[in-house]
Amino acid sequence: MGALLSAALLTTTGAVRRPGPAGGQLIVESNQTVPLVHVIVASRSGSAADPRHREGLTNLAAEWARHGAGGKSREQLDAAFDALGATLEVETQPDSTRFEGEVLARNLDAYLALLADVIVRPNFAPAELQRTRHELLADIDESRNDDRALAIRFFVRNLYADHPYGHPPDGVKAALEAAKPDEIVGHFRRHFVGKNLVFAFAGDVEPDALAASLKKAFRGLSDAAAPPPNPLELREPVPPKGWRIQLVDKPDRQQTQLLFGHPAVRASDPDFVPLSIGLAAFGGHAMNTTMMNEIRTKRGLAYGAYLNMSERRGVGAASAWVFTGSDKTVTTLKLALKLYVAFMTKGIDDDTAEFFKRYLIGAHATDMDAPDARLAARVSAEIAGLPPDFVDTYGDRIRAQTPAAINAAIKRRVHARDLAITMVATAAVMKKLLLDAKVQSTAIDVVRYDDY
Amino acid sequence: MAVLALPIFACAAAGRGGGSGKVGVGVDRGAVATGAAAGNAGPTPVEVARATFGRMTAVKWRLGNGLEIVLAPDPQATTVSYQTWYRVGSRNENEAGGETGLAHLFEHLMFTQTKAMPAGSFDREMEAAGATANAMTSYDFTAYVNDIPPAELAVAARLEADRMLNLDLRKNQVDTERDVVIEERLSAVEDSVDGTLEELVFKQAFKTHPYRWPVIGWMKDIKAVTRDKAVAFYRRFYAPSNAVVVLAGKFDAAAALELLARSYGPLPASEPPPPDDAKPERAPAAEVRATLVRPLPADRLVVGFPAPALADADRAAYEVAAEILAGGPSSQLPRTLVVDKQWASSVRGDVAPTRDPGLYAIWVQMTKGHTAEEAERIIVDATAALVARPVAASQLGMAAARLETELLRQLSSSHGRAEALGNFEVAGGGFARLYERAGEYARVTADDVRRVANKYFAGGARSVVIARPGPGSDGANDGNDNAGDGARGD
Repeated sequence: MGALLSAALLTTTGAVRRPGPAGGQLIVESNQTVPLVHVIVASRSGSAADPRHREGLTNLAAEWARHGAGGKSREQLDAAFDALGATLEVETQPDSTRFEGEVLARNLDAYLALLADVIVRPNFAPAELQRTRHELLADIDESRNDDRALAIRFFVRNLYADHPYGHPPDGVKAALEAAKPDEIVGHFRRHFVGKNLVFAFAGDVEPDALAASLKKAFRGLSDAAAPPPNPLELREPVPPKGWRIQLVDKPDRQQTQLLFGHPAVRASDPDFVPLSIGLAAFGGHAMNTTMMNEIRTKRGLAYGAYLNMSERRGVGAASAWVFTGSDKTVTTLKLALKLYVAFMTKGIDDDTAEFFKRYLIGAHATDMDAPDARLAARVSAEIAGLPPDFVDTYGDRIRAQTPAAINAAIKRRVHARDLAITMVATAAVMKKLLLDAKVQSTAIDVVRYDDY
Repeated sequence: MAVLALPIFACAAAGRGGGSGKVGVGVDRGAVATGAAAGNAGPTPVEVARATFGRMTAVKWRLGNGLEIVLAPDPQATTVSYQTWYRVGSRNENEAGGETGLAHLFEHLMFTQTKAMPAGSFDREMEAAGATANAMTSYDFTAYVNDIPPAELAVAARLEADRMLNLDLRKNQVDTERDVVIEERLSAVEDSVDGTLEELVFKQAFKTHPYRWPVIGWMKDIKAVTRDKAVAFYRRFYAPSNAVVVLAGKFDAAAALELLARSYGPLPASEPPPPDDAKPERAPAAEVRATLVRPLPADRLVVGFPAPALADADRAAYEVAAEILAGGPSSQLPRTLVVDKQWASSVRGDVAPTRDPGLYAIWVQMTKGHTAEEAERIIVDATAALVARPVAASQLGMAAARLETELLRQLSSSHGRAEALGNFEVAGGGFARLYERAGEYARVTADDVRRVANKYFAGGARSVVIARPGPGSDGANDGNDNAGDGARGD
């Protein structure tokens, strides 16, 4: 096992960087295993750039741009992508808005022309705005079918309150209905300028030839300065006080989706890597974590119990997820909170630190085996302000951490007594169970599952 | 997307693996047993098949005890996906005996302990090696999936070979994992609209074939599982002659083969598993329907049509037809229902990648003010149009290109490649068929699409399940719940 700690496990060919169109950043990783190319063009502005009372504006703008461009109607554009065997979808996250897809390598140049149409020459046809708005509102309704997605939608608000990270990237109904065409177009044009874009490609592609093709395809892309970040995003989020429980009331639930967490740390903070080791030991995606051992393996209380930390440019969250039967929810909640308090107080021991360092180094290599996953990780690191070599040197960064550094980061960044707690459950049943069990919350707020 | 999606798996240990935690998809058993019995493989592995696709080559070997090994090295990979595919799934369960869900529950139990390794050792050793270990169960197989750093390949070989025959089940572990599976079913079925719809669409379509019961099993059977039933299941189905080890990724083929032969070679050949006497059933044979009520914004619909098996000669043309119906954004049903009429917020189609004839399921989420019957009429008309007239060359080209992209996407990672090779090996006529499939899409003609449409869509046979908004829903109306007894807690 010692070899694990000395060998470089992630032996990809690495990525090369080139100047992208109009001052953008180009990242390319060549891999000829299959004749396919994975593509991401990301704006460094995500849902956190949504203006106040316009939650979802950034996503709406990108979706509208995708629905007709370069003089092609939405139907013609869709058919053009399909004819290439290609995909192009919009993915809006708090820190970035991404056009991402795949294309057969033989069709790359034609794909770039269509992609450039979407980003540089969107039609912004009024009739498509109406349809796009209707579809996004319907998507929000549909997302309520999935109890986990529903829980996350409410949880981010409970966790971040009015911080720009506190609303769902797909927005809220009133804001989407209120957005005017001019403000949507203006918002898109401010944020989709070359200097605010990351162009990333992985697969059967050659960097220099790609750079030339991109320059040609994206002729006309604005080289205006990148917009300043939303000043609200730069604020430290106001953490919860005590255990703030939010019950998302949905009828006939036999199981509870339970999330809890707190703001933790920026990805660029020195505490980010050591804290990620500590949190992985407590609830990362492994079977030997504290949460899985105590909640699933020993007691069979839940199918899964996890805790992750988001990689954000701003202050990301440490957030835990457990789903368990309604009759076991209070027991599971009290146990999970007790474990998290103990984790905050005691940290982890040396053996555990070494175990999870090894696990994370190996798991990173397996996570990064898929070219599309590697590409997404490189873009996320770039957007989050991490060093350009972060993905390739991740193992070294983990290896360098000591148990003392990990525990110091836990002590500074884990706030187990101040948590936002969100539960999707049938409130009439769950609230009584919580009160009967005397869970020491500062509040138990009940909200309907379809009112936000 | 229609081709290699595996919507019917119950990933038993989905809590496993999946990420670093740092941030943020043959050869039938008769052929295998015959090969081993004929003594065509001694102590030295014997090469039995080879296939190449572009830069990728996969070779199948057989050991003297009947174990088969498929090796697909890729020098550009960063890891090795080490997968063990057992030819046992829910199709091998005894429904009349109240043993549905046993294959899946057993998948959980494979992570407990062996005669040589104490409880928890498997996960501890794998995770200490930097590996992620997971597993999945389907109608036709159970697969154990380890993605592991290349230098640690021997760890996986030792642990997987050990648990193939040496599992040491304890009652308390069976009890605990049963509780975990109950929680899994609550999440995946009882509290999931799609889980309930999927269970019903298969149950009412199939009258005799084992595909009629869910992979995860009926709740009453899960609750009745005992250690003795689990042990008997293990002894029947877990043996070298009933398994295929698939490796894809960064490894030296000769060294890996030597390691696997050394690790598994000493395992004794076992009695062949009981004969799989499930008779293929074209299902549904007629129109069958159910409705239920759930907290929904608007109606949700699933329509299941008869579909050919993964290895069937009709399969490529059928997948092209499915792609034309509900594939990319310009395909017929999304274009009509989501974009033009705006009656639906999403439409997707899945052709089950099953060993026997299965189902092609089309899923539709209606928008408020529109009923599932409106979408069903559009779907029926679209399938009838495929029967009535040839599709345009442009539609054929789009569908073939999109299916090629989807296939390449799966082959682009070690994990995806091993999964696709394993699925074709146990359920698709052999691993080499995977590599032939991409070329088949491009050769499908308009006449082929019309022929398969006539064969599978004409006549009106379909399994329809509709979920309507119920009390407490924003879109609630007076729903009529006539769901079958599989809807809750069966």
